[in-house]
Amino acid sequence: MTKFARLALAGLLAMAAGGIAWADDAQKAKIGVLRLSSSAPVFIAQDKGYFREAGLDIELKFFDAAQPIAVATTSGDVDFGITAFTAGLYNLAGKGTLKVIGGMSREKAGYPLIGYFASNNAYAAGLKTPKDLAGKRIAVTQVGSSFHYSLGLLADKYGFKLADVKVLPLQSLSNAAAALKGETVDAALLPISTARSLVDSGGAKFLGWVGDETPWQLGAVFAAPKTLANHAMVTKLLAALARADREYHDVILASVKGGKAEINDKTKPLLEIIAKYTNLPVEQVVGNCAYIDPDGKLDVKNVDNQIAWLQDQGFVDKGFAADAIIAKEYVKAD
Amino acid sequence: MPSARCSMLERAPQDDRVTEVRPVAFRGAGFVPKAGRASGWTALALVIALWQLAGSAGWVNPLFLPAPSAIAVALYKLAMSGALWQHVSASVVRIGSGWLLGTVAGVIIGFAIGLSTLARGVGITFISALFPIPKIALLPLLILWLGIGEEPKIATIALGVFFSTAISVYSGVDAVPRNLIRMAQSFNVPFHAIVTRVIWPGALPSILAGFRITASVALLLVVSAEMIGAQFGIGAFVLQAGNLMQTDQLLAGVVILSLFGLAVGKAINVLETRLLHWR
Amino acid sequence: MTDRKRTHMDLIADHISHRFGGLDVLDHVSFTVASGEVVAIVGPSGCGKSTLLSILGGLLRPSEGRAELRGAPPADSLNPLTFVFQDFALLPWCTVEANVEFPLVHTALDAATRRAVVDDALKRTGLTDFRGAYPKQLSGGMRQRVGIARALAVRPAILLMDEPLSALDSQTRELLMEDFIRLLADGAMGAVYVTHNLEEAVRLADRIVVLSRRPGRVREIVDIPMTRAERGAIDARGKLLALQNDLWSLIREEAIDAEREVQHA
Repeated sequence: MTKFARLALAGLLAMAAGGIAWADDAQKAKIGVLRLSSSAPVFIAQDKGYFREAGLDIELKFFDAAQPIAVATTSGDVDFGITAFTAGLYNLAGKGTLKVIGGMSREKAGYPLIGYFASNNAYAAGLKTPKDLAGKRIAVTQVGSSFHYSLGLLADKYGFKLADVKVLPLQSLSNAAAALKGETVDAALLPISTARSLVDSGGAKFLGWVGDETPWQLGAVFAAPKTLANHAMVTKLLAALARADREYHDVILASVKGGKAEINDKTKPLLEIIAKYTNLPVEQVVGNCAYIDPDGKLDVKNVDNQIAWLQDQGFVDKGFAADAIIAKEYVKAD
Repeated sequence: MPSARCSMLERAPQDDRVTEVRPVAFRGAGFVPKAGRASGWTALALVIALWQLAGSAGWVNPLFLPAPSAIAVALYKLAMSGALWQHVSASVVRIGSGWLLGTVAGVIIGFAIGLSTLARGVGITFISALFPIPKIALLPLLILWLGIGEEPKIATIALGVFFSTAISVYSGVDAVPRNLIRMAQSFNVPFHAIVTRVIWPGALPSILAGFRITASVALLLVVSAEMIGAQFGIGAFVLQAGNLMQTDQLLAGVVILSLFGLAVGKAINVLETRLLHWR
Repeated sequence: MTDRKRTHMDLIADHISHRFGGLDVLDHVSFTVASGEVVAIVGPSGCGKSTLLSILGGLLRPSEGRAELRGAPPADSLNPLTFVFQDFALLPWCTVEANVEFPLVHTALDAATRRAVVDDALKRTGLTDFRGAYPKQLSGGMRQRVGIARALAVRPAILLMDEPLSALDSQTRELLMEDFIRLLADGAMGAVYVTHNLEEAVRLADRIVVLSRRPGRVREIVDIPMTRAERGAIDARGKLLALQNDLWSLIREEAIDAEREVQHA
């Protein structure tokens, strides 16, 4: 009898506490993320309460570059990281300090993200398509970056040697844009967000999109081994993300035509969420929608290819392949 | 009270308790630090030994802090591959020419500010306005103006060196004792000779002190300078190692930079003892 | 030096006034230093003695009046009006020899002549053995001897000496005073000797210009009725002391006032 009374009392108290008890039960976790639309599902899941409904209390930590997210995940400052694959990330993962648990953005035909751009002079001199990049001086941000790898894929596709291209690391997008505008390089790989104003003002010429030329797995969700041990939390996170992935895919990506998402009654709420988190007007968000697999799948074969390529270039330590850095129990392979 | 104390003193010799002799306690110790050569090196060796121990014993993650031995291995590999010399020579050329350019311009402008009222008014205003601008913020502009060849790299270093040099030169000129200049004037020594034989040597101590700073500035800036499309150079090497999270190589590059710093410091010591032996 | 032809060149202070900002320092000071004459300028501190000397030597432009030269300096004089400074004003990065040669380098003299002139100046000041030394290695007295040697090297007609002994201890002062008496003995060189030390003034000067406290005016010009040679005699001592006391009584009241004055910031 007393036992029942106690239970009833506990139940009453819990009901009285309401939302507060709800928050106390939720598992706390931090996600390191960039303010880019390639992380759109994270913003959707956070804003629409999908994490909360899955029993997670997520705090988003915003970073300026991909590398620090990987480092912060390794050091435990964030529990999960969502960003692009880089040589630095693979070097960390190769030492066993973090593992990939799911896929995120991809370069895919029809969804512009990174493009090839020519300087006006080089364009006039005959650099009109990505194929013509062989033998040119090309600016990238950093060696071993997504841009560098995209160029490597292009070289493979058109059968020229990357060694014939003069790759110039300029450390930042603004430096690369300045070099292109100042005619000191023939071409540069730039994200659409940086390149748009440059092309619109006549400072550079558009050559093509990486996604159209060489689709590949650009970004991923990853976690430190310590986080992986918390099986329940990882599963909840991935489920919430998959829900947002699906919604993003079916609503926004399905409306993309000519590289731009439509603005209509269905897409608008989601676009506004993305706009809020990326600090961009909706009009810019629509032209900047990264492709993300609706089931959060990861292109494991491509990850393997990335690692092998970076190892060949000497940017990543040799001696491991994709399976060593992927948490198989979580990853849905493509 | 004073009278009581007085009488006590007069009585003192007769008092048994006060006849005992004791030394005046020494209280002038401390406040004269000396530069100990040995202690500095010992401390450095100790820190390195502790660091190595922490690495070998697994107290720290080698990714976050590679052990000295790992850095030494990275250096050795770099030297064996021949890339080390490419990196070092590319950087030395940039640092050397940038420093020289900045120094020559800084000395000329510094002297102008120190000697002419007009140049002083204009120069100090410009230096105050431009000196605090972080040169790294100007990189995109430098690329637009000078491209991505050697020019913007050398210009980055030269700019950083120029301001510090100009400031140390004009404060050096200001610090030349006025009585020496008046003395020279009283002997009808012509202006150019006062500049070369009184003001230049008089300002030399602070000019050399300025060199010590600008040499470090040049070393600091080589990393920024080599952000601009450099394929070789210690700065480019450090940047690349950072981008690729190769922390052992990153620290190997840092070690090379500090060796540069030590070498430059030594060279300036030699210059000082040769040129300022009269001090 | 001693065999050079005597010519006449007088230095004249002609109603010199000076003010620094709003502060009157000198007020219509006039006197003449005749060729070969030694004139001491004394007065309470802050009376503008050193300012006056700078004006006489052309290092400072007076607010009113002017310094004038009458007659021609000796033909071989390279710098007729030559300073000896209180703080010696030696170039610390030059050896004794180079310091003495410093005012000669930009003259028409050839290297050999310069060397001979420097050697002579070093010999007359007893510095021959110290020619390679740097100023920091020398005592205060030796440093001032370098300053004197440098002045002698340009063969001045009139030495302008600005408290040349006041940075030195009393024994060194005595030794250098003897040097001055010897160097000025032949009357080939005149001198203006600024000092606050009345004993030095009485021992060295032919005439003493007594300035009042600020703004400095000429209160009195006192003749010393003895040659410098005569002043060395024992029986001259009393007379000189009496002179010194007379001077002191002229200055004393004002020296007290000058000392009590609060400096304008």
